[in-house]
Amino acid sequence: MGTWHLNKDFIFLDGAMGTMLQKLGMELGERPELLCLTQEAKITEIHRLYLEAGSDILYTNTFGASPYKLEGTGAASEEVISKAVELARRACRGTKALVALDIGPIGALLEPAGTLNFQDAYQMFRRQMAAGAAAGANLIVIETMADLYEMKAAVLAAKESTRLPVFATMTFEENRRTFSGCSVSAMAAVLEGLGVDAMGINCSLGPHEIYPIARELSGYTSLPLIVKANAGLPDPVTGEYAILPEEFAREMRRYAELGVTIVGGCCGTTPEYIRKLKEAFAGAAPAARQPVSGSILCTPTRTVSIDGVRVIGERINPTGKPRFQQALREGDLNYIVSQGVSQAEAGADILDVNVGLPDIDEPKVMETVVKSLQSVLDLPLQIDSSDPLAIEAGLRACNGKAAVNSVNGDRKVLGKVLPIVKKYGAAVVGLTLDEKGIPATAEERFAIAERILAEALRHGIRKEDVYIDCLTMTVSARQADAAETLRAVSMVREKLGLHTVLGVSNISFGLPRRELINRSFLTLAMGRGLTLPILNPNSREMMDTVAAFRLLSGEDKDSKEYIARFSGSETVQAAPEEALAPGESLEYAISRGLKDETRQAVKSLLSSTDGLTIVNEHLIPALDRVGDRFERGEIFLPQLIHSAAAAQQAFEEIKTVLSKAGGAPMSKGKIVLATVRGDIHDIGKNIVKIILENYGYKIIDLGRDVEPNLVAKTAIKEGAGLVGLSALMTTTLKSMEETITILRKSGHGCKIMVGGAVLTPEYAARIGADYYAKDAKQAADIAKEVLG
Amino acid sequence: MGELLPGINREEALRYMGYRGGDLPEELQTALSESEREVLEAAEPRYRYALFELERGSNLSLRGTRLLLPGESIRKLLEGCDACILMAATLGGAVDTLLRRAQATDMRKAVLLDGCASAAIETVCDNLETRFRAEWSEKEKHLTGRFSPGYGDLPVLWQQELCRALDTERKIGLSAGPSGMLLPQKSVTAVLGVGTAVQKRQTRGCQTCALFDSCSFRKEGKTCGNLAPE
Repeated sequence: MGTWHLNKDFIFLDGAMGTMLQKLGMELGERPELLCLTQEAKITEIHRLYLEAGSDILYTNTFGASPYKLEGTGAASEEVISKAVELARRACRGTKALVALDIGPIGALLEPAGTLNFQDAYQMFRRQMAAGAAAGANLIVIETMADLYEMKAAVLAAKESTRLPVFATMTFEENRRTFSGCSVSAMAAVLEGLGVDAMGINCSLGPHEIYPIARELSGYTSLPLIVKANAGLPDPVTGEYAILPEEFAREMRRYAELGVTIVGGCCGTTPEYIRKLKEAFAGAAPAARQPVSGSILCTPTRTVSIDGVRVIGERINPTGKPRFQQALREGDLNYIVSQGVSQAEAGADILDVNVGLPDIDEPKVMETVVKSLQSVLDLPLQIDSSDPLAIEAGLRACNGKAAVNSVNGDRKVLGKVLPIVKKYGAAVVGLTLDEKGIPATAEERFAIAERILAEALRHGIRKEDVYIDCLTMTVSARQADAAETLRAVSMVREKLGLHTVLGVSNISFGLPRRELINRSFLTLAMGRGLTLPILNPNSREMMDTVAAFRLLSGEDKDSKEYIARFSGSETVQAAPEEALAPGESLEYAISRGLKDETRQAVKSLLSSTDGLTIVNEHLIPALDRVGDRFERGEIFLPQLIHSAAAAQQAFEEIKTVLSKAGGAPMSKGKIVLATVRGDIHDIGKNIVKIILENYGYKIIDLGRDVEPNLVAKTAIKEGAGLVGLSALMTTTLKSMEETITILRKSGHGCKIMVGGAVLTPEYAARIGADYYAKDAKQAADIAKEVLG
Repeated sequence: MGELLPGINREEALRYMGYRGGDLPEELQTALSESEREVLEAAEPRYRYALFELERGSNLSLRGTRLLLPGESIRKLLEGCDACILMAATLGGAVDTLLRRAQATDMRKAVLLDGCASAAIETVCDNLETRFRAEWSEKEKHLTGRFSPGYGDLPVLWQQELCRALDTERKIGLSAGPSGMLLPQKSVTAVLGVGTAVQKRQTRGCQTCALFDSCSFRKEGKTCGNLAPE
């Protein structure tokens, strides 16, 4: 226990600061934190009142003192924080009370929901933490967080810039989720992993409403628990809180039964609430807690309990996949994310992420790929690398609790990687090999597993979070090995009680009917205790096998999942359309947005016509006709895009044929697209992108909230002949103008087109754009004019 | 939630997608129904509002606060009013996630979802406004229409002040970014005047709209539907 524990059964926090300041005449719109500089006496007095009421820990008046929130007020975050800590310290001079540096949300949303990136958030928190520690705060409390990623940035900042104990509390709604959707279990797993000293719940609700949420939390962690509840729920119009001190204290008293030991008040509470609270707890003893043990992996919105067979998807991996390697080298994140999405849709529980290629900056790419995947998917990740720097980059960027793949019995590797696993609170996969290679027998592999477990425990990693991979060898090369691997799996499972991992498909290299071998091996391995198979979830047969196993093992209660999986699977295939000539059917398929039919039509055309001819004589004219109908108002946007998506299938088919033939990739020129800095409304830009791609242009999509310099740099580097910029807000048109200015100054002779809801042709001309595109169709017309 | 967002107004959603009449293939209608369902499932409408008395000094301001109501448009709107309601409503972050995911995998779906979500937040605001009208008409007061930052010369950036006054970040998870952009994206903030002598006039019409020059509906002689109630 840290110094904060004070050798007491219960620790009493203070009540609201804002409520007290309002009572003392603070007006709406005033910044409470700035009063530290102008109204020292008032702030000290409030602290003193809480102290008299019985608070053991006082929160400084710094909830909104983030550099972001204080911008434009003329006061620096450090200045406010150091004064606030001084005032709280002044109030508790001569007592045993402690001063907690209060850290609230930054006030700007982090990626992917907002624009603030993790590193910038971290830096802001670091400034706050360092200032608080320097001013003499005794501990740090990070509170009222709704975003687990922001919480992670704050905890890392606290731990990396101070040695103070850290309390962390988040704010939940009655549906047991935070505003950003974070669950109680994910909060518990991540905060415990990051090594906070105590965690809990504050604000939003009263003690009555928080109770069930706190009960859930108490089942997930053995750390001390904090509850700082509001004085009930506020009246929607007057803002007055509903419950009085006696009732508040009575309700709070029940938390002792959950083993909650750190209690206080949030919005609407005053020193009187704290006084009654302390009285109510007289004679109470905290109940013993029995959190459920077991390993989980999670993201804020999805928790995967490893309490049965959970499938790890293997497809995000460049090994032996030229298309994936190309995507990594070109930074084609869309392709990589699409590999994640398809595995998620196929039923993967966890995604393995491997971006190892000899000639790339693996840590950087790992960070980018992790963030991209997490911006659209909520599956927990397994960071797969042998480079400790890439592992750390992946874990740091990851929102949630991840696994690391992998360490092995080599003590050098263990010594390097386990501290990183521990620091970020991850689970870890240990391979049963060491510097001497892969042992032949199950016993030797088991011995390595034991060694890995012992080292992990020594580093403070929980036993449940150690997974062992007993290594699948290719059975056609070493036939006896399959049986040894299976034996090792059961030994590890039974004797060590650890979860086991196997890369299943390695087994069948070089054999015919690989699926059959894979499936049979998977079944055998699950029967011996394999819980974390790494496989290709897009293989229907493999996933069917897992579903069958879960039914047979009793894990799939009442066979519900199995039945749901196979019900309605025998749907009748639609009757084929009337036969059309190949060219006609292509146009028909595109006009109706029929993807499969488009692909078929192109395939049959390719037997007699070359790719480029198809593009120029069939595809583009078909798209032009769709575009004309759009312009005339005969079809509208969703239909235009539907056709574009179908045409994309045709392009993919032609590209595949061209690359097989070794021909140059087809491109009619490069276009850089970006939604300008400050703007994250990028649906318009994405629509333009899909249409332009259809005309055979190579699109370099810089995404949203893009720095002006990056646009210019990329346009020059790629030699793009056209740049398209999008902005949706009047306030971000300035960024658009700045981007154009920088592009012009760079001397890069490209054309610039702009679009977005608030733009007009006149405004576009005024800020120096060459073209204004009112919609995607017009953007395509402009591209044709500029690039041909 | 059900009462604030009982369903998606399809006509309105289609308008946001730029639908100008014409044949809606059955397949598209099915996809649209699916999108409506997904938006309804993901949406968690939350709102905040508060009544403020107006103070007319050299500037128009809200009594008991440091908030100014800047510009000509808002001054005109609040003629004859003695108070105003500040409101903020959001569909919540899960809808943004839904939209982001669709944009990475299926752009048509993204456009359908985006239109449905825009219609949904309008419905939430309409229902809130109806509720306000009923509540204040009992007190013999009338309300103007909703007037949002970005209309007329009320700056988009003023959303930051409004959000701070309603403590929306903490209470409903809504924040206004540095460019005044609301997050979650499908959110609305607005001012409604309250008074006994509120004039019946157009407060949410094209003339007051920031998009007056660039609006594609208006160019075709149509409207987006955000007109003042009669």
